[in-house]
Amino acid sequence: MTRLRAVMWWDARMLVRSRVAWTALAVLTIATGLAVCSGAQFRARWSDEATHERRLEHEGRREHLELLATKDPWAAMPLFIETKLALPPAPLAELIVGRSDLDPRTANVSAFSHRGALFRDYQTASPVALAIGRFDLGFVVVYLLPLFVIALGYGLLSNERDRGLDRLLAVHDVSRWRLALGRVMLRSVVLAAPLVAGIGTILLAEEPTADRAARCTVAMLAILGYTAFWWSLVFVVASSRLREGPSLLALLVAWVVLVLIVPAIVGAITKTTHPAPSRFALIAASRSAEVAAVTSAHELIGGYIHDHPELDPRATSAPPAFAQRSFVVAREIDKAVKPIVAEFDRALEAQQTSVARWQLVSPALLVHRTLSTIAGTDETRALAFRAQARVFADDWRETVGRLGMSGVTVDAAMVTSRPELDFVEPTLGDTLSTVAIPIALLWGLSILASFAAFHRLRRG
Amino acid sequence: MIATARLAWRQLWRDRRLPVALTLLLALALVAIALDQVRATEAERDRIAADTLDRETFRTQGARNPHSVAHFSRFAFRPRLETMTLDQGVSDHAGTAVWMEAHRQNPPNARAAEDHLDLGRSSELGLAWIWQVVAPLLLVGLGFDAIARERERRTLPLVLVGGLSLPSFVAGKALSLLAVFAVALLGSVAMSSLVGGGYPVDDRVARTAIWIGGYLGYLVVWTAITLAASVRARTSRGALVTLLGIWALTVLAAPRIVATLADDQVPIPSSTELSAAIERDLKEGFDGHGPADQRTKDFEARILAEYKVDAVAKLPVSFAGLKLEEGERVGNLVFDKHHAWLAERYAKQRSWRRGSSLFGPLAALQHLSTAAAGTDVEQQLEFARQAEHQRRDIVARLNTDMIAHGTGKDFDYLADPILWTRIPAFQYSAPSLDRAGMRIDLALLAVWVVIASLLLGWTVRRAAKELVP
Repeated sequence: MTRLRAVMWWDARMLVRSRVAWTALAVLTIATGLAVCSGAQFRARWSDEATHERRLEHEGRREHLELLATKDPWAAMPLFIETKLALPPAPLAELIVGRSDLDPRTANVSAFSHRGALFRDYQTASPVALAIGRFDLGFVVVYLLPLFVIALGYGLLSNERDRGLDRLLAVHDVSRWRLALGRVMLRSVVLAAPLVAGIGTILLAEEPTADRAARCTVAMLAILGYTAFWWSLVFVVASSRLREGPSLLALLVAWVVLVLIVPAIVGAITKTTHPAPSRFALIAASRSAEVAAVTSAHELIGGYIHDHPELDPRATSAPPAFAQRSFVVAREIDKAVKPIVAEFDRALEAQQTSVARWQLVSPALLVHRTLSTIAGTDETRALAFRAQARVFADDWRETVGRLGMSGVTVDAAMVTSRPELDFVEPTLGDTLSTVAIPIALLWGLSILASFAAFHRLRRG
Repeated sequence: MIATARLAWRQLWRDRRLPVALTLLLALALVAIALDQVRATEAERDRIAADTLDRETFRTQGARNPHSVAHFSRFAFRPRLETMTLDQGVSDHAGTAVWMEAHRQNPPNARAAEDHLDLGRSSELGLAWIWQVVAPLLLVGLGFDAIARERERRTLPLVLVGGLSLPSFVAGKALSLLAVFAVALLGSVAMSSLVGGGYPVDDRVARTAIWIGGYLGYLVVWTAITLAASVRARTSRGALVTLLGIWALTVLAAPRIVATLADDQVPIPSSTELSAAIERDLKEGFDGHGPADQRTKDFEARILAEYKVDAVAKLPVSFAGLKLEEGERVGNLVFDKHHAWLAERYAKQRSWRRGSSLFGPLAALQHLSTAAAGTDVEQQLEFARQAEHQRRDIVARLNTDMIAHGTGKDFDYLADPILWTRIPAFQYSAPSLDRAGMRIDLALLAVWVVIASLLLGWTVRRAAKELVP
């Protein structure tokens, strides 16, 4: 232990004098700082959007109450009440944007909503910005961090070996494995410091709840596991007796393959093998169902009243015919597109399952998916929002539809007490159980590789 | 120079770097093209099938009020251009379908990217990604030690003693690298054009030529930078580290940093904010369905005076139809204002990204590449413009029918179903090549070619002086 400390102390002095170490530390610190700021900006914008949506909802209620006070006949009809749904920012949106900038985060719900068009007109973001992606901490970790590890670690032992100093060190009872371990430990600390600071900033930037603290801790574990994987690779290369140049090349090839090429191929294959149904087909099916329902609207209204004998719009103040028609047509379209919409979710889930298998061949993919899951910016939360919004919209349509068709008039109490979507986040327990295996894998791979390298070094 | 190039090829072939790099490039290109072809064929088949079904649905909807049909309207589906194989650009992240309904200019929706898992966005397998990201890296891998190794082995003076000048020697190395990548580039483009498929574009040859030209320029820049670093560095390891730093910064990090900065400096309003702004303007405008306000009264007075009658009931036309048409007129002014503003925001973001050309040629190349492939934001906006033009045409035709034939019945009037067959279908016409828009990016790329060549020339001259005893 004392010798290991001595190696670390000696290497620390070398590192302090090394231009590469300072450059790496400075660049990583700047990149982390930029990424944390960018993440915070993204979260703030999402939060503003959700607040704006809530404000519009409250303004809508206020206006509705004012119209009721003026005895506006339209305001008194339940069928014309609309409500807005908004998805709050993901628990750790500032960590990694994931797919949260693509998915719908708001919806307008009315008696005339159907699931095929529940989320619409949300696509205003710049397609170029979406295609390139944001500079977030996830990007820094997945793509840049391994390059810093390689920059600090590629000559772990080869420098001494190339100069014949390893024998001299052996004479002084400084074994190669101890030298490598000491160096890796010290350099890991150098590279981990900005990232720990970044995660700490993310934690403290918002109110540090137990949930955020747990997510930040697990994210840090994943990041450290990924760093450990790259250090273990450095360790393996160092144990292979390659010279400095070939060591660097070998590590870079590993980076290109694991970080760039494998994810690209996995992405392309998954898209092809588990394609989502055609959006065009969904649109065409929805419109075809609409025309069929419009043509038989009269029978559909009769059928609805027949199914609900307690309701007879003729007995009280009936809503306008077009509203009744739109309501029953929306129900029909909903029925028609339900299986197709479910197919979209199933396709994403199938891709999820497929990638979960493929990600084992690329730690970059593994850590990207893990961080997105921890942050709540992966497809799981998006699918949960879609599912909950659809259930809410169904309930809303049926409730206000029944009230409207039976001629009930809206009063102030109904407006103020109308339900809101209380989005149920996927539980932290579920999230942690999803990421537990990938994180264990990252650490397991790192330990195994390091162990193999350690043995090879000892034998050598 | 040719002899040096031949020797360099032989060396690279012998140490297996050249066959590995070429195999990787062509294999990736082959996989990308094959998978893209599968998806392209499916996408076009789906689009045509959906369009046919929708056309039939629209045609056979029976007698309906024209305004109900204006709400139902049609969808405009964006086809997949045959040049998209070259660069998918923003196509997956931009909407592909526009609902051309009355009263609203809807943004294109149905983005393909929403139906796929997010795997990082820096690794989208496609020809553009291969040549923008992977190729420079391989070029660095092949060329970082082209001169530095000779220096390390102390063989450089020997080469020069043999009568060969350093500039000729470096030019030979440059030729060897550039020729390898140029051949591979042409090979991958040839493979993609053999496979074909997609919506035809008129100027495919010109687009492909510009695309190839842009990438050749990009490869020249990377060849020059690689060799300059190799000439300048004391060791090949130093050259590799420097080049990788440049690559990571300019190819990997800079596009994201600049795109994020652009998005933060020129924020695009969320859909809710945009809709709220449009609604606000429309409320102050004119809406055919809205309660009678002063504008409605003024409009009514104007129409009554125009037709020389004293009551709406005596009008020889449908007043509801006229109101709807007036609502569209005002609505269109509002939509034009807000959508022009949105397009302006996109353009400002593009200017920001173009600014990143200061740090490397990638931004200019990406703009050029997507413009040539027809997958840039401009061409997406053009699709939206064509759909909006069609929307206005459809709504105007339906309102005209209601005005003429809905007298006294207004919203109870049912039009003859033959009317639906007279509504023209949306015909997307792929915009012709925007040569003017490409000039800036071509110029920026050319500037980078010149800068990189000058840098290489300066480095070589300096090194040559140092080598002279």
